[in-house]
Amino acid sequence: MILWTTRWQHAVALFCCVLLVSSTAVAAADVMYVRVAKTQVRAGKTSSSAVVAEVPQGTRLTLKTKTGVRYAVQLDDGRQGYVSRLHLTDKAPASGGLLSAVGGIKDDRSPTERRTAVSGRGLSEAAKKMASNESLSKDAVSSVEKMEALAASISDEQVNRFRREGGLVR
Amino acid sequence: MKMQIKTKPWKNLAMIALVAVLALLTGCSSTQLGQLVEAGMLATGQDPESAAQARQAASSLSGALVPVDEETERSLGSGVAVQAYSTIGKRHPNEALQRYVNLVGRTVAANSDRPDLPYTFAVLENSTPNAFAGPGGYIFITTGSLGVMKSEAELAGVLAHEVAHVSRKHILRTYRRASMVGALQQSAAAMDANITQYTSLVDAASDTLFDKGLDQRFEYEADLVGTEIAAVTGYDPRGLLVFLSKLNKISSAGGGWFKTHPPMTQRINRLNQFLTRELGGEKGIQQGERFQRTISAHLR
Repeated sequence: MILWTTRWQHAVALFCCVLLVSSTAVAAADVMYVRVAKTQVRAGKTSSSAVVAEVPQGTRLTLKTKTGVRYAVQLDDGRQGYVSRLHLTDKAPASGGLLSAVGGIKDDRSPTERRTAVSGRGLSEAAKKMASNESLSKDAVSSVEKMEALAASISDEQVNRFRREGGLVR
Repeated sequence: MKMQIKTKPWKNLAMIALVAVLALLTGCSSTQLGQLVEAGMLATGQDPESAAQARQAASSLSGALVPVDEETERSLGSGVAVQAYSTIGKRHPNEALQRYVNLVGRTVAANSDRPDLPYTFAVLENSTPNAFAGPGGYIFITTGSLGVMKSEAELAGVLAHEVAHVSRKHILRTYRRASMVGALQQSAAAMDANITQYTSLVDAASDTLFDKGLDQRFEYEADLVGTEIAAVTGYDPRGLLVFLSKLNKISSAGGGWFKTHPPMTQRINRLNQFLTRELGGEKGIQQGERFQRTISAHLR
């Protein structure tokens, strides 16, 4: 019994070491992927620099340097430039394996997070019950519903038009 | 007779860490994981006291690591939104103004590090300058804040600051620090069935957002990340800095941002350093004209 327990504990320690080593290896990987719908690879480190390429969500980029707010990257076709670090993730796009795809990027959420893959709009039942129990005003509840309805009525295309009309870069 | 084996503390810790990692991979609740650890330790001859301690440790650790699902986060956010309309101010009735703020907010949110969340923005009728973000992307700004601003870049900077709170899950991390992990691990459906617990979670978030304020480190992080989001979107990255500098000069602006945020001079200094170091070459768009046209038509 003592011998079995010792071996088991050694196995636990070994497994933890393997996990530590493998996570370090992942962190050191020099490949990242586009997280947002599309992003621009620019010749310089500012948003006014010339656009080298516009790449869609899931595009693989090789990291050259990882400093500052814009990382130096190289596309698979050899072109190089800079991309906002906010637009990059180290999660690879889905490849039809065990993990499901969400928006072209491998779903890196835990099973708990994936419990509800589709996160819809709308006041939750719990919020409605809370408002009723706490005697919160009907106006407060209807305001949340109006807020949700307005957001749902604005399409991505309308947001893009607003951005273009405002002269915003991206 | 049951054999009991004394083990060194680090070995128990190693097992708890292993189980917590497994929690991430399997999606078990923190409570289930704690029970699993306890059963495993008892089965291998550990004493009941150590097993109970390990159960507690495993529950806490796995709870801190296992993320909250999006539907639960948004359910809590909608509850906070109801509280905001009940206690902070009514929804401004002008739909064109609400739509404009949503368009600016959605534009910056699309450039955040959590772009796929269904963000929703609203203007509250309250003359005190303030803005806050509930879980799941429910973001509010007061008419008092809009009244201080002169450009869309300032509005974008403030909304991007709030988007950063959501994308970095600051309120959920606050729950974890307050040992409310177990309640958070429940699904939205389970919360529907336990309104007392749901209400206590919403009240805790509302108390933090409306009164106590988030941890100062979260505010500083939101300042920097929000400024970066605004810059990447194409706005003048100094928008938030300009807004904060104005607030700092308004001696009558008690409450609101002054009540729930860190000292203004420290924030301004940190933002200035970040702008010089990281975004020195960024010019960006002010969009004063579109902002003034919209605000003067629908607010002033």
